[in-house]
Amino acid sequence: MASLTLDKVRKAFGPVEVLKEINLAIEDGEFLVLVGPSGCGKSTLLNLIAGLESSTGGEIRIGDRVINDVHPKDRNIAMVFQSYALYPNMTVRKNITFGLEIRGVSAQERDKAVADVAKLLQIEPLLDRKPSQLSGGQRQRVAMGRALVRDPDIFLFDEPLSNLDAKLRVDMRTEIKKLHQRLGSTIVYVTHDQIEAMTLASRIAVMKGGILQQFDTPQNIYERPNNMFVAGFIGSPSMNFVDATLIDNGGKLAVSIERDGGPITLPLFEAPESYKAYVGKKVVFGIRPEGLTHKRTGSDEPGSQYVNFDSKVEVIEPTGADTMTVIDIAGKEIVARVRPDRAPTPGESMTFSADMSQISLFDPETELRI
Amino acid sequence: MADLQTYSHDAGWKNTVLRGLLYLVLILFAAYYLFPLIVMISTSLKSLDEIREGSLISLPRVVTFDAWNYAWNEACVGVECTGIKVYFWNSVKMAIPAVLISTFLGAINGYALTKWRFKGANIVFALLLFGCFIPFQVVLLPMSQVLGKLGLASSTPGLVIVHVVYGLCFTTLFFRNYYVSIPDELVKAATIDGAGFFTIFWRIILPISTPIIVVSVIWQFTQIWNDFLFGASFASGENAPMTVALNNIVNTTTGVKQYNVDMAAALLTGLPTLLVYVLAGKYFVRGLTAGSVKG
Amino acid sequence: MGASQSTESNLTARIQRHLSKIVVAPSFAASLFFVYGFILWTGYMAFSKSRMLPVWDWAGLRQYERLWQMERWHVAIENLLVFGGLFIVTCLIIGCLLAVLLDQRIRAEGALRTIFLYPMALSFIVTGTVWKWLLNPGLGLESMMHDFGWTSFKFDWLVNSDMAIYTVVIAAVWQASGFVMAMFLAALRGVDQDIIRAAYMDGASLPRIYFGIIIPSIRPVFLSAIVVLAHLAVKSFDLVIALTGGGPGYASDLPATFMYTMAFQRNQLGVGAASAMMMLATVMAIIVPYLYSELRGGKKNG
Repeated sequence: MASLTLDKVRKAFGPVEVLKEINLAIEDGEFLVLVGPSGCGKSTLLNLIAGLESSTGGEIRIGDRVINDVHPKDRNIAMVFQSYALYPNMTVRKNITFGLEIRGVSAQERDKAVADVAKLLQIEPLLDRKPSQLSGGQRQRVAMGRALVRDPDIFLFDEPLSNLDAKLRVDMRTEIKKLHQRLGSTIVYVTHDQIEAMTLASRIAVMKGGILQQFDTPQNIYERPNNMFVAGFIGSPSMNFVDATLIDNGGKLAVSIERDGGPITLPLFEAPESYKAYVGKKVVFGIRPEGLTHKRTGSDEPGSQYVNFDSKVEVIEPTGADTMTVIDIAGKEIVARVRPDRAPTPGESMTFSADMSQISLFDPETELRI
Repeated sequence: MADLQTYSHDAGWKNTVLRGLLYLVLILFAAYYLFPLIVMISTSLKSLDEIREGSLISLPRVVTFDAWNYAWNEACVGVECTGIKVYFWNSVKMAIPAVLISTFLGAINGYALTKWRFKGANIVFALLLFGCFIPFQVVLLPMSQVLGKLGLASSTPGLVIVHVVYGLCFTTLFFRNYYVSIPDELVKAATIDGAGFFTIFWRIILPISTPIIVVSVIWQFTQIWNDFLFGASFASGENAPMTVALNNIVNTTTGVKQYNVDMAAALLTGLPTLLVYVLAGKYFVRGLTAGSVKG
Repeated sequence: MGASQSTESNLTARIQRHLSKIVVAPSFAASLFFVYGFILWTGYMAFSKSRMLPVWDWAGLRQYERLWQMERWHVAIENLLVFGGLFIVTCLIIGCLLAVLLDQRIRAEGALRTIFLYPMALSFIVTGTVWKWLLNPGLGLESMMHDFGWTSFKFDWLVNSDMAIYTVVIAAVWQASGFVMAMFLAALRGVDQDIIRAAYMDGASLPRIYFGIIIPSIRPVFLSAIVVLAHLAVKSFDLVIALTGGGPGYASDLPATFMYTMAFQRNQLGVGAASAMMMLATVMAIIVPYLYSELRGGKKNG
């Protein structure tokens, strides 16, 4: 196992800059997830780490070794692909030992390696089958087996769960997490699914347009997103954004939102220094659906983090555990999460509590967090 | 499928009449296509007298394989009267290497062009492909000069080279289109496993190429075996392929016209490709339509 | 892992990167030389004074002038237009018809398809030989019809200067219509069933469905078929040689046979080369716009 460092890594295809100065460093044993929308460059970055493509600039190091010009087979990495990429004409056993055979590992050692990995992944009964005779989940495990058997410094996963159905995806996610805990391997994992990112990662790197947006632990990214893109990308259903003005509400800072029938004033619970510069200016007020709920007990007490306001309910979407309630504020549709037994009827008006300790303010122009 | 049964609005009996008509037309056409073959076979089994006295479609009263024997062993091609069997083997000696070499080159070209793309690969492919379409008349003169200079005029190796060069475009097209649909990730995984260009080709790509190899071999064999233009231009004489010999036998004006021998010789020439078609026809069709319905 | 291993894999990586090019290079070079090089060579010959032997003196357009002054060439061109036109149209009609008929869920479809297609597996020489026998003035169809009682039936097209080219049409259609049928059948099977169902529910009769919806929707295949058939027609050499030998005289000559005769039998290399270039130009005039439109269309759709 080893650490991975990306130092000012750039990649351009002709005139098009696909990756613009990526700086990342993870420690031995970390689970890094690269997440972002299609075209953000995450797969390209993975290919650079794997050595399937060469960078246009910057350095990539595994441990202390600079591997920019090292052939993939000498980088001591292993990769699991989205489509598993199992060799169709070989048995599962052959698939797993192919790489070892190329390296000249003796037959005895190969057999032992296959046996160990098969036991770990519970694919022993499949060893003599061909890929076409396996189910999606089984193929995925064989692909992981092929990677595991190499005992690499770093594991690379390229959207490995995208081709599985929803239930299987959740099961395999847990298996990958268990494997990581058991083996303590360094993993770089690419996905476009932010739920996978949140559940698997020790640290997440959110990317967009070839630029690293934020690199932090899942919880930090969730609670303190750097910009509106990260805020909207991570978390499902996504964060609500409302145009508002930061005002001085009798000595205390508050957010004022325009509405027919008079503005809503939401006093802030915390007010870091950076907010002061925006008094009187327009800001984007961000609050996650779980921060907007039915009226909370104790919300009328002074010093409470909850601030109440009334609003008419447009649509309700029961999900079983919660009821998502859509309300209209200043033309924008806002989603609130309400307990099913307190769920309103559409058309009715109801009191909502906003948890002001869980909000984010963004600059409307730069979209950065204030 | 828009067929009568599902989409007709008419009553039952009208449908039946129409379907009867349908089968009739199809059978008539089938007769049209089969007629020449039947006549060919029947004529080849008749004696010359019977041919003169009988009619075209009458089946032989006395079945005799004399014509076949004569065609195979004694027919005269030019001044040699050793039968068409010599030229049969010429065709075999020419076709087998040509088919194998052009198929192999097509495979490795297709592989290189799709799995190890380099700058300008598309242009290379386009230029290669374009060569499929030219009328071969435009290369006959230079080719005969080049073959002459290389000392390969009227030789089997010379003909093999010609067929390989002008068959490359088709085989490359077949394999390239086939390999395009094989996921690139297969090659990536093998690269990480440590396999190089050729290892991946031998151990991973080729083993899964059987369908297109069959198409390519059948297509090439048919084209090469049936070719006349190149054979007549570059290998007339003792190394001539069977088609050239056939034409010679049929069109020599000396002596009595032996129609039964002509038919027997034609059948002998056509049998290899016909057999391939009957046994592996669907691959043949796939090969025919692969090049023309652009993909 | 030291520097030496790094440079070693550096070199291997470089060779590997170029290996692909190295592998394709021979074929590419062969194509450049044997196709494009030869085209230029023939082109130059057409501008030279070559007769029996190639000569490199410039003769300008002299060979082309001589070409177009030859009556035989004009006959060949005319024959090509007649033959090509009839051949393409007849093959399209028969091919389309057979495809539509076969599309009707016929019981013996596989067998019928085999029967319709097998002529394509034969050499044109074989086809020419058998049709030459079938159309033999004395002993072929004519005599068969006489035996049937139709004693006034006359079929001497094979030796008739005016009609000889039509025999080529008959034989060529027999050979190639099955292929057109296969193309159309594949296209018919690919038509979206929902459109047909919608038309059916609207009350359209079966002929209406075919002529109004299905056949228009497979227009691209018509074009493909025409291009392939046109290409075949221009290249037609084997068939003519076997069937009529270009005769009687040169009445059924086609550009392909003309070229061969001039170049290899008449010691007129220059004229032969010029006729070859004219054939190339004709083929290009058909293929290039077709390929261009295909690629453009492909890009638009994909």
